[in-house]
Amino acid sequence: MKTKYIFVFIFGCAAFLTSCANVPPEAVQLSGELTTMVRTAEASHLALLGSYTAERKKRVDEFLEKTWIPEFMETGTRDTKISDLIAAEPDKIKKEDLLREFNSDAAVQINKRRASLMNAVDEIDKALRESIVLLYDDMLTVNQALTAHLRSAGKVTEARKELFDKLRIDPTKLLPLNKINSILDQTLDYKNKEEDILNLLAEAKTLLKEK
Amino acid sequence: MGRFENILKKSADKTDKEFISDISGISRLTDDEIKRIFPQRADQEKLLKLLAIVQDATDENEKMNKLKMNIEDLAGTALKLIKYVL
Repeated sequence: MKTKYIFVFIFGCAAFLTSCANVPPEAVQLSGELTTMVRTAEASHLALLGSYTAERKKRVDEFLEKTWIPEFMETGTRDTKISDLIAAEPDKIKKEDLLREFNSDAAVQINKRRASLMNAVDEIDKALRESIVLLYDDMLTVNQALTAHLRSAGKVTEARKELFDKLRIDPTKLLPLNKINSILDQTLDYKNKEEDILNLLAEAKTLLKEK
Repeated sequence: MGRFENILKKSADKTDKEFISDISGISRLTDDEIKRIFPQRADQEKLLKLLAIVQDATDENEKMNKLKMNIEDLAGTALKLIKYVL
């Protein structure tokens, strides 16, 4: 039963403190600043993604230039027997036509591979971009909800301050916070005996009555 | 379509098979890379519940602020009425 009173007292104090919580206008301002910071971080994150994608595309180009195309040309030359065909052709213009046709058909295959690899990189970029944007959208939604809440709570604080001013009451003197906190700390220390706790509660009650 | 196109297509496919792991490394992300670079969104269900709670509290504050304004308006009107009656 005594424990019940202790809890009632503690929750009573907590409820009173909550109703007295102050939200300065600067809290709303800070929350607004956070929105700007989130937007800046998003722009920076997306710019980094742009650099990452450009780097991957560079790797695709390097791979094609240094590895795939030389190997493909070697295989293609062997498979088409283009060297033999050119050597067997007596007409110089027809030799040139054969070579031009081979190069043109080879270019089609090279362009297909380049397009396919670049598309794959673009798909990665698109998926990453979408997930980054969604993450920052979540952050902005949360911060906007918090900003709106702080703004409304700030107005309540302002209204309460006006009311206290009109009544000529100093809210900081309404409750001896330091003393009550000290008593609560001791009450929550389980080493104290039950009688000690009851004495502390009586002391707290007296403090409240004095006010 | 040139006369070499079909043969060169097969040559290209052969070349692809030879460099299959390089092509995969360039065109795909590994599981480790996906974990590392894809941002993880918060649990949407939990987020919506939390946002709703904050929104409710905001609405309560707004109601309180509206009430305060209404009381002020009412007080002003009451003062005018008293002056008029007196």
